Amino acid sequence: MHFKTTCLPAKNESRLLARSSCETRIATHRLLAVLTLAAGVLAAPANAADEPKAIFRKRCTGCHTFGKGIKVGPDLKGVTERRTREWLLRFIRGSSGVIQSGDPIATKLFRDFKQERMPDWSDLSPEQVVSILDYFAADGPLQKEPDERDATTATQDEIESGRRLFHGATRLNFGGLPCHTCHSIHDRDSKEGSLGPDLTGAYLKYRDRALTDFLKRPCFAREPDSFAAGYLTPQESFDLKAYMAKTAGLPIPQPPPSEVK
Amino acid sequence: MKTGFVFQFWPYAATALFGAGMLVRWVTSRKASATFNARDLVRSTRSLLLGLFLLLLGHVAGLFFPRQILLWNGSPFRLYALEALGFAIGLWAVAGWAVVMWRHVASSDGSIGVQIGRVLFLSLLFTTLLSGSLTAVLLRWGSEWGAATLAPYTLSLLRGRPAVALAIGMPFLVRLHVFSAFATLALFPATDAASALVAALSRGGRWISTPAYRLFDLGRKPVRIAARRLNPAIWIWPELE
Repeated sequence: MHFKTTCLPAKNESRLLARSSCETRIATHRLLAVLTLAAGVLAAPANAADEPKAIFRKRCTGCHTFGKGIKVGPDLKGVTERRTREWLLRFIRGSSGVIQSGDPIATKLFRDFKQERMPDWSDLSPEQVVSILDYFAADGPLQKEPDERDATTATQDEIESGRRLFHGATRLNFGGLPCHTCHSIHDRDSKEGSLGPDLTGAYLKYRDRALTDFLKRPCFAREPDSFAAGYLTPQESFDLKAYMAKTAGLPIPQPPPSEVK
Repeated sequence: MKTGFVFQFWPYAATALFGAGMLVRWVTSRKASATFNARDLVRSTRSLLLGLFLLLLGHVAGLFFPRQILLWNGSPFRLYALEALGFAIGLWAVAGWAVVMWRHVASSDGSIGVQIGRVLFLSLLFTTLLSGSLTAVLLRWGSEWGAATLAPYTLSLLRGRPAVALAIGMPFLVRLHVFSAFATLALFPATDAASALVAALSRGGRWISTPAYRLFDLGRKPVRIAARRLNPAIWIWPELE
């Protein structure tokens, strides 16, 4: 979209009217631009890192797999290595145009996949397509969520972040109450909540896998996190798990000095 | 009976019983000649009433200002102070209850119906006070988790769409507290305290309505005089004046 940003100076009365109309148009365009930007900000997902995942789930999984072979279209695993970024950007946003231009790769794909043409995702911005390609390059849906990691791999920063989340010094992303509202843990800053059990030994009791699953849902129904889009982000979940592992007395190996910044 | 059903319908049923009971009390106490001295009752149950009033005030504050309470609780010292104050008021109310119960056991005034109503009400009130006090001690910290569970549950009741999940996930002691609080409300009209409340409300109503009626009557007087003067019937039949 191209917006006019200046008006020519008025030389006589008739041009004065034209200039006034031109200024009104520019003001309208600016207002529209601001509103579009505001709508974009409001409509953006809570976590920008989740956007490519959501786009992949919504628009790609109908015809493509990632690492599970051909479906309607080709397997997308390794696509960023097979094709150039420029080509992928053009193809995703307008595959029919690329095929019609006689591009050899596009026409071959068109032939190989029973002349099934991919929809033109022209409504996706180049930035959104690039974020999807980055997501594919980082192993796409096969990549592990942060909370899938074992707590023994946690850094001191992650344990400290878990401590802050547990005791409410850092707000949870989805606005839920911190753990110490209902639970106690043997550490400084503990408020000794006793609605729920003491979590000092919870890591040893449940172990990594079960605790990861346990942290995916709230302990009981409460507002707002039980009714919000999510409960904990995978990173928050991992940090809390790491903190609980630390308070349970698990020896968490420190990264070698060369890796410490 | 399923727990969900209890938390969905019991609060409304209890409120309806309270409303209907108070209506019956209103009708019957208007017919009866001042049989009850409200002032004596208030004097004899002063400690309990004060405790209950403060507890109610705290619960209402928790219901309508949960965010502010969570902010206040941000510092552990303030949290402990608030919880200790709530527990102390709870103990005060329990002590007040014990005094009232002792008086009731010691004297046997009133009919058997009045005595049964009083005992049932006091028993339920004790259950509510005890479960609340035990919750404060054993299930800490109510002013924190209550903001995310019981406050939104109560508000959902007021909206007419009970979010039962918020209440049934609570431990038994908390559920008992909620249930018995509504049961106490439902049984209140069966006590002689309901008569006292009706008498007080009636007196208060009269106190408000009498000056208002006088004011209204004062305004009507010049209108009546003007209407009489301008009435054409007087001109035709002067003997009417």
